[in-house]
Amino acid sequence: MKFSIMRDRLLDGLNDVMKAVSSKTTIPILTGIKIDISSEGVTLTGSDADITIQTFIPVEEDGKEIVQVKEPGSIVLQARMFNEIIRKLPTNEVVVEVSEQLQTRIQSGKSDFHLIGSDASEYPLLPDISADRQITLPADLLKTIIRETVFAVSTTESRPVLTGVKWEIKDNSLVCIATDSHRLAQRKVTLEQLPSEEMNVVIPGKSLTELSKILSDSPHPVDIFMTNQQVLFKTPDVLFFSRLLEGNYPDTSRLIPEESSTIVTINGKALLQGIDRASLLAREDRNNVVRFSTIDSGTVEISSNSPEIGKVEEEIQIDSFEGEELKISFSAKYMMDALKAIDGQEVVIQFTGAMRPFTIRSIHDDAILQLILPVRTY
Amino acid sequence: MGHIHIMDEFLSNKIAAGEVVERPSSVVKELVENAIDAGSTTIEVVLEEAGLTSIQVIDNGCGMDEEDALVSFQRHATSKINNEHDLFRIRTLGFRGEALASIASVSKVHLETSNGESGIEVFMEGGHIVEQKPGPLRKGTNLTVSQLFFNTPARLKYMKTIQTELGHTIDLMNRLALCYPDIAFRLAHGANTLLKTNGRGDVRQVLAAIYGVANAKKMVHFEGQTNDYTISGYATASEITRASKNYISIFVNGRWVRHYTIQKALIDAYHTFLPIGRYPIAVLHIEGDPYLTDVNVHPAKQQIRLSKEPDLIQLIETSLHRAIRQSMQPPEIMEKKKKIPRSTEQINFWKTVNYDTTSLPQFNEKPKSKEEFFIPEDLKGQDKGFIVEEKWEELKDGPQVDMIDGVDESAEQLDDFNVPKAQESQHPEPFKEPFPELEIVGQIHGTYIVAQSIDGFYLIDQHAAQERIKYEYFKEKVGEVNPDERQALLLPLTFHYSADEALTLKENTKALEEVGVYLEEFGQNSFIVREYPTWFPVNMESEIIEELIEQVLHSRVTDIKKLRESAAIMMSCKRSIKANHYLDQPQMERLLEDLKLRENPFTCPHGRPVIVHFRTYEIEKMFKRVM
Repeated sequence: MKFSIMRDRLLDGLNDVMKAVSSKTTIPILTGIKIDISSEGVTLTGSDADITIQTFIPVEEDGKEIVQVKEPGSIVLQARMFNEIIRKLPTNEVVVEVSEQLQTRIQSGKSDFHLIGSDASEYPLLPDISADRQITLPADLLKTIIRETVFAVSTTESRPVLTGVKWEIKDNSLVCIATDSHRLAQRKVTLEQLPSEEMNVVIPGKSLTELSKILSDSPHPVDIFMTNQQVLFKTPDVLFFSRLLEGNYPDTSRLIPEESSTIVTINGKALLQGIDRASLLAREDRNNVVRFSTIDSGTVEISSNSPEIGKVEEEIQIDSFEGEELKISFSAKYMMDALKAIDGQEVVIQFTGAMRPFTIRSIHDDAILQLILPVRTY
Repeated sequence: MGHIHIMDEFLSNKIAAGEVVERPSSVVKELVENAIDAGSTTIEVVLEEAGLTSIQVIDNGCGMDEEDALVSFQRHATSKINNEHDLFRIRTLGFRGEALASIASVSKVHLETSNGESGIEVFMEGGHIVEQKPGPLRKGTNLTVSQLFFNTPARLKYMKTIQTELGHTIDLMNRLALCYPDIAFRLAHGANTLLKTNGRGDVRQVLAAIYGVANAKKMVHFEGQTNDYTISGYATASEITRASKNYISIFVNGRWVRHYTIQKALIDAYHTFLPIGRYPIAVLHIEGDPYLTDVNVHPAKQQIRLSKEPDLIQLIETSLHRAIRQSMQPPEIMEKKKKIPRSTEQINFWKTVNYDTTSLPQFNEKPKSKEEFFIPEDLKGQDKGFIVEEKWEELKDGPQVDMIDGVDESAEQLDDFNVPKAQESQHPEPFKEPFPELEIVGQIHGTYIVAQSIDGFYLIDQHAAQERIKYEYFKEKVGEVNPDERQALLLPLTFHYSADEALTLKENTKALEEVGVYLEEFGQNSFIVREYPTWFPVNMESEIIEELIEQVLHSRVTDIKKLRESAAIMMSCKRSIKANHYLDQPQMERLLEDLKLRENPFTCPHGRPVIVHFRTYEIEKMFKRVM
């Protein structure tokens, strides 16, 4: 196997693929990157068994020759090492050649590396995904959806299914839901083209976080294919595979209150900053609790009190108020996460009492909903 | 003139008593040791108020006639050695001829003894004979020490509580019982029997009497031999541990001794098998020519000097290490009341067979079904006899410990390859403990792998498992350093040592040069180092060099692997998958596959367990399927 390639283009590809490679794995070959050379171009594959990322570098791109294939073949090279080497090579042209016994020679300018590779046939095969259950979303929208939901997934494996985001396709819309059982984030998207059947998958939060790092902020379409075990996000040059979580996702529709006794409309940004300040005095080890009290229907008071540290109080003007006066305590972190996801717009917060979950929505847009459970204080 | 005079005997006895008779337990020690030296087979000790009121020691030894009985209370009276030559060939526990005289000088003694032909009864007070008369003719000695320290109020005042003093005596008697399993001991405090052994000569039975049957059953036997010493003993496998080193008893030629280096060797044999700060229960008997041991260090004879110590240490470490590794099994979940289904001997037996016939898939099967199980039908005719015979051999001899040149491969691994070994050793085949054949069921909490086999299910801590895998890998890697790559220093490092240490260092500069540290003499007792090997961690140069020098001062060799082992443990911990990490089926399979190949797959480098076994029987019991 032998080819030459433009270093910068190779680095772009490696950058994407490296996101799937983990240094901690029980299968040693997964610390490597698989490189396949065909007459069409170079395919790079990285995987940590949860996520697999494959990127393709064509022989010619925008009329420029990128890759010169001298002899097709495959090899697996140590990911971290290979990436570092390519990044630090002196010239933009790289020649990679694999001789017998997996000896790999990397040449650029006067620099000459010899790496010992692994047999590509030992590398796990990519999952096979059929095209029948498919939706398409613009890359920037997909990225937004991920940003608005993925923070709410559970970080512990004690209930594995909660470490993922549920994607449910039903009645011409996609509903994404994440919850760690203390708070919930939900986002609805109306789909233009519907797949042949209803779908319901749970994608690991970690996979979505990695995916959003790869996606561009352009409206280029991303094709999403789903099977029972795998999901594939396909952009023109990157294939992103992720395993799906098994298990039944809890029914969250009943958790969202339909009625409310107190409705507050407030500037999300002002509230976010107020809570951020108040949380400075809210101790981490006590759930990071801040107190939210309405005063005379015109303002809310955000306060926090740690006997050993001190206390803070801050009043914030509200835009409109309906219903009963209320005092409620909640985790500053959850509230800030939720407000950040809604992105600084005017928000409507609907309470149904100090011990009941409350919802946060954007005033302009019904698509996004954040639900938080209050903290019980005595 | 006239200022200096010879002390009278009673005074000097009292002074000697200060050293020998420290507390009631020392009286018990001296008297029981005398009884042992007298060849007794039963020894009974009865205490009142922990011995402060009275200590009675009854034996069935050779006893004394009238003349001996009276002489015995004089200072420097002994039956145990005759001349200077004997002092270096002591086979008895006592020899100084001080004990009885000292005890008698600080208490009231009532002696009743007979050699079977004549008997005598003697009453003494503060070392003076008060009364003597003919006594009963029962062969043996019955000696009662009462009102201990009645004439040394200062010492009496320093006695601790009855509980403490009694504790000392019980501890002492336990050790003596362990040391002499063929003597039936009984220790009573008033009406309470605190220790009773049957004197059948089985250490295991004594262990059971002292530490409980369950613990005794879990202890493994180990033995070994050098040209000069024979060792044998019992020690707990890694699942039973204690928080103190007090449960380690070392006996040299029938004498309980405290010996730091031997104790350390015992603990080192458990390297990475025991959690930090935990110690085994262990009994070690060392037999050797008395000429090689010097017990004449202190009147209490608890300290001992040994010749050819390094060989002995190595022997202890390797044979115990091997025995533990052979016995390693995943810890089991046991209900408290439950009887252990199979005896330890049986398990060992299967293990040995398992080692001989490598293809045995299971080790916990019952022997009978086993035979059916692994011998193919066509081989049964010719081979069965042979296999059965082999098993019989193993059964008779107990678990065999092969010693090849006294060095096994575990010790070998610890030695840096740069340092040529004094003895070149053949590598015995590494012992493989039977690691169960596991079928993976799944993962729970992203932390534990659940797997099943015929005899129950197993929980495997994924982090600990990978830690063990990586540890064994890095342990090899870190020792492989190139001492020839050295970083020069602009300002050399200076090291100061005392005159004696400097002399040792000068003699042993070679050992340091082998790992790339070149000491140059720099004035008196000072050395400078101008360059150091590049593998030294940054900013740790002088610490590392000091540590290497310490190693040289103590053992005359440098051992980089040992030095860098903590680094290996840290690396293995950092580079392993953590808890809360999802693994899919192939990843779990690979992990268990790798784990199976480890030298010790049962504990992580910090000594915590990797795998826990839940027996089918236990599970059935939990659900009351069996009652």
